[in-house]
Amino acid sequence: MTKDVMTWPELAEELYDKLTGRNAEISYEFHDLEIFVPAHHSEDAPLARWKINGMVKIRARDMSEG
Amino acid sequence: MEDQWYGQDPSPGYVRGLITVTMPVDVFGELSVTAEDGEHFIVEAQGNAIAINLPSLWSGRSLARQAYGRSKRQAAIRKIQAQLQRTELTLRVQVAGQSVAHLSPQSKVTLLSRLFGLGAVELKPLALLRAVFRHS
Repeated sequence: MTKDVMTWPELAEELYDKLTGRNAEISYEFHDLEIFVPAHHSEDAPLARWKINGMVKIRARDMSEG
Repeated sequence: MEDQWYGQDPSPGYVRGLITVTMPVDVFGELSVTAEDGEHFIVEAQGNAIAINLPSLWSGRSLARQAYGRSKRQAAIRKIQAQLQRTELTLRVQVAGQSVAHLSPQSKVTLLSRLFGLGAVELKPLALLRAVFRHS
C-alpha cells in the first residue's frame, strides 16, 4: 500500500488502484461464513446470525471498452 | 452527498476537491444468505447489476428489520446509493423473480418512495401488490 490506510473506503480505493493497474479481479468464496448483524436499528439491538455461502468476483471495469 | 468534501482534512485519495472519485467495477457471482430463523435469500450479481432475490415478500423480514426507523433507513439508503455511484452498480430487489424495487446512481426520490421513507429507491407498485397477494 502506498499510504496508511485508515478506513474501509480507503482500503477499497487502494485495492481498486491495484486492480486497475494489473487488470486483475478479486474472488471471494464463502463457506458457511457467519456474520452477526444487529436485528434492528438501535444501540442495544440483539445480534442476529446470518450464514453466507457462495462465490463472488469483483473486477475493475475496463474503461477503454467504452 | 456523503462522499463529497467541503471541510478540512479529507481522507487522502478518497475525495479530491468536490469531485467524487469513482471506482467502476463489474461483479459476478451468487451468494446464499440464511438467517438463523430460517429465512433465506439469494444475492446475484451480473456485471453492473446486483439483485436480491426473495422467495416471498415476507421472507425479507430480516432485511426489513435492518431498515427500521424512517430517518436511519433514509440515511442507510443514501449511503448505499453513494456506494453505487462510486462503483457504478445498480441494485434491485426481486420477489419470486419479479422486480419490486430498484436503486441506481441515477435514482431520484419519488412521491411513493417519499411516502414510505425509502429515499431514492424506485418502487414498482403493481409488482409489490402482486407480491403481497401472492402470500395471502
